[in-house]
Amino acid sequence: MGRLKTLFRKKESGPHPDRVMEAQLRQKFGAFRRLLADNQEVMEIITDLEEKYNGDYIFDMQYLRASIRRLSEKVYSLIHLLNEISNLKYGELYRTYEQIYQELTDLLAKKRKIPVDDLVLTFDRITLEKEESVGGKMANLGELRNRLGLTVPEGFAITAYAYKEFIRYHHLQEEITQHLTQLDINNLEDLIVVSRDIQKRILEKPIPPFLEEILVQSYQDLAGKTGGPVKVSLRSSALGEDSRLSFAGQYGTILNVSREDMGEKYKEIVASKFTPRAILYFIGKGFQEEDIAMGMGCMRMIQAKAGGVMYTVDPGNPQRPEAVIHAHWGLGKTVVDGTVTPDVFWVSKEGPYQLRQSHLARKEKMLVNNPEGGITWKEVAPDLQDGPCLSETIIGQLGRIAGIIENHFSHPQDIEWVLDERDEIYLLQTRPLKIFTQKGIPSSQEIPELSQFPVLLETGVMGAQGVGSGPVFVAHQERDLVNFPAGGILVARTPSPKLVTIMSKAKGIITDLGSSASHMAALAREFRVPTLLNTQKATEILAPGLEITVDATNCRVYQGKVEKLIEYAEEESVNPFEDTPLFILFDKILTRIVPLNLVDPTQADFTPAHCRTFHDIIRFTHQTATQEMFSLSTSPLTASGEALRLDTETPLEILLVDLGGGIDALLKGKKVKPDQILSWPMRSFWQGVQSMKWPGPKPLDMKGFASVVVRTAAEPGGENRIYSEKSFALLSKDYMNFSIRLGYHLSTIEVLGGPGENENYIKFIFKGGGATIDRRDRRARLVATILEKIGFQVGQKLDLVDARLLHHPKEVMEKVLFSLGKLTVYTKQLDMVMFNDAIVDWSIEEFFKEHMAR
Amino acid sequence: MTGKILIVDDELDILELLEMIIAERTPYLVVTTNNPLEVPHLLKENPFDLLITDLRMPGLSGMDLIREAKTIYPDMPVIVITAYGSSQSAEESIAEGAYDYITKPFRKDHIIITINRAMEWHAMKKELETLKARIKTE
Repeated sequence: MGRLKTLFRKKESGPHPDRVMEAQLRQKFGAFRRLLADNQEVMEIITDLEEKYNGDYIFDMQYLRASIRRLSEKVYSLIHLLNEISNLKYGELYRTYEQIYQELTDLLAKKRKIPVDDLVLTFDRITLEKEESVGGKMANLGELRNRLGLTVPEGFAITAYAYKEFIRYHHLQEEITQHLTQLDINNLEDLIVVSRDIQKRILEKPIPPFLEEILVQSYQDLAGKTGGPVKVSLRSSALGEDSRLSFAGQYGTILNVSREDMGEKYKEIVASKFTPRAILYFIGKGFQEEDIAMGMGCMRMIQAKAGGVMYTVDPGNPQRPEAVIHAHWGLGKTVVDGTVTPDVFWVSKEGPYQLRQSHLARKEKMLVNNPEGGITWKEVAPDLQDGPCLSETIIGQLGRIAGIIENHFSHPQDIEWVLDERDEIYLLQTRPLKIFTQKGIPSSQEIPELSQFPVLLETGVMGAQGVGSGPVFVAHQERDLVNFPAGGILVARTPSPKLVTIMSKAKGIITDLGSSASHMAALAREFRVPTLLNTQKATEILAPGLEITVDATNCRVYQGKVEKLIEYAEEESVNPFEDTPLFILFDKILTRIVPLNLVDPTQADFTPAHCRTFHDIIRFTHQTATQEMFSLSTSPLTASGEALRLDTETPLEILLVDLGGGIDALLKGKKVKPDQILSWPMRSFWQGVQSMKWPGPKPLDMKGFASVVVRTAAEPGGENRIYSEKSFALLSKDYMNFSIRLGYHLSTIEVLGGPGENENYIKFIFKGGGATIDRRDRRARLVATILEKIGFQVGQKLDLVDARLLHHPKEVMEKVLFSLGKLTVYTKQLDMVMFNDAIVDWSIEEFFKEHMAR
Repeated sequence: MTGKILIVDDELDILELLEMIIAERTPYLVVTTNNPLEVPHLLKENPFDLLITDLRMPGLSGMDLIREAKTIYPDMPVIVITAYGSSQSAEESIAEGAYDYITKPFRKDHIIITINRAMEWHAMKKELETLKARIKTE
């Protein structure tokens, strides 16, 4: 020992401390801490977004905009901080970010592009794919006609592009924009004036000749097909008009229009885009006015004998298997507007399409086409007032149509139809029907069968909602996952994104530790795997193979398969808002944020170029920043930094760099005694080191195998070589990054442990050695096995051991660090004596018996 | 017990979600509008048991709306929807006579409970008025 101490002292006169370098280290560490905080925050925002997406919350665009803004700022900050830590190595991430950010901004602004198309499209050329050209209303009609072979009135659509050309021809856009920019939306009089001015400007312009020409031509073609002059209806089919609530019917529909009036009426509908209410709407909603283009449908007026609407599911009683028809004599507009009381018929949607029930109303007046144009009220003939306005045959035909359309769109539909005098049914419109099911607020207590099943766990937090059942599969290590059975419930100590490999086969995931803001929880929600986290004791309590049911929503685990609960949860899991425009938009937004493509850092595609979502960027920055920090204590930066020497009994030369709060400030410039270290990870670790007897070169007091260890250790190079390199520890109050050069190997331990467990980790890498590769390999196996036994997730490749312990509370980490200190001393040079595998097993046993028992 | 609720918000999304959830979870009838200016007209045309209104809308503010509503139906409860972080104006609305307020985003269950309470309160209030009237005549 004396000889070593002399050597150690000689080394004390190192290079003069370089304060700049130390400042840089501090700065990097500061950036790292901010990155971790931001990482936590972005994961919380994502969790919050996903929670809202479940359908349990009511929110608005403002919420979405605010959340996305905050998220974008933080993701940007993560990239910035990673570049600060890594000396600008990852500038590429900014480009990926910009692209995603732009897409999100466009989505939130609801920007639409008006595609260049023909000015007019006849119905035979329209299917759903043409929605961006002709608007949703006409696209749906085209779909009915061309894909389903159903009858719609002959006609054509005037495209959104025609509208754009009309506006462009008269240079109206500048005027409109100017008017709207100056508008104070809270000033009603102002609004009315602006609305009137814009509408007036539109109405006073003539239809441009090229548009006039195609309209006349299209009209004549239509008349030719139908045999003579016809009247048409003009229906708005705007892009961005999503036919809902008070906005539905906002834009005009004009019935029974003659050829002469077509140009005028076209302009009237275009002008209806600028009613005060419509302006309030698109400004209030943050629409770009230019993006709402007015498409239109023009179709032959049907001489209506009767008309109305049909719901393929009865909204008042969705359990009924029948479609429900509301019908009245004359034009169906009266039924749509609710100005008359219609007959109501329930009809089956499957053959033989029987009328199941009718409620007849007294029908005194009806709306009909006026031969001169327009529409007019007319008395219903007295003998027709009380009877049904539809025959059973027609009702059956409508039932068949309901079945076909609902089946095609995979969703209940709200269909507008009309019956002509030859008893032919024409469809005028179809759109998704909103269905509400009458249910109380659910609770698991409502299922009496539950009491028969023992509750195994009643702790934890929900990671992803839902209920799943299957046999328990406990995975201690990542490599266990390869044996995971389809339909199993995965039980693991900590959440790890690597679990994604089994998510498509898992019925549930339960962990001892972790929070709902973890990457894994986000993945579980994406895969819709019911996930229960932070149960503390699942791995202890749940025996492998045991059949269980996990109710993640209510944080409960039952023994056995609780069928009723699974059924109940399946019903519940349907988000009632799924088909609303807000959720459709939300879904598009989330696909740019949530999916995680970069799961495995060891894969070649774990690069900035492969980041496709915000989550990818977040994962990449987090992972890479940790790696950058990890290598910091071995980087050249450290070698010249200002460091304090640890005053130790061991022959190691350990230099400490204080990143803030790691060492008592009063002591700086002196040797630091172990009990003057304030960094708790270092303290715990060092206490472990000190609790072991440091094996000297000739330890006569050591018995048996341990003496062999040390004897052999002295062989190549001797102690001089072994302790000639410095070890560095970067410390703060709750951080330690310690690279220990001990003999021929290097181990790096990085620890972060704050009050929140989510960011806590211990990373331990062990590599190298002076012996032959097989002996080093054996020592690595020894280290790996011991680390596994004390709770680490461990990967081993030849003599490299890569271990981590995540999300544990400080108290647990202190114990683990203490053990790591012991292990570090114990394994010193052990590779030299790893003659065979039996010695490895023997050593593991000895370590636990001799050093861990106490 | 059936009753009628009028909901005013310039955000169609909120109206749509609220309408769906009230229809699903309660027996009440719902009328919605995104135009605050037509509310006085709607209220005069039809009696409502409850008004739910956003606080910040173009055209007419929720606060004005409460005042208007109170002149038409002094006893009709009003629930105010406020954006996160504007609790001060929410409190002002209570001073103005609102029955309760709820901050966006909110849980479905939360609004249903608030609505049920307001409706019950309104029913009791009506009953009380009837009883008072009866006592007077007797």
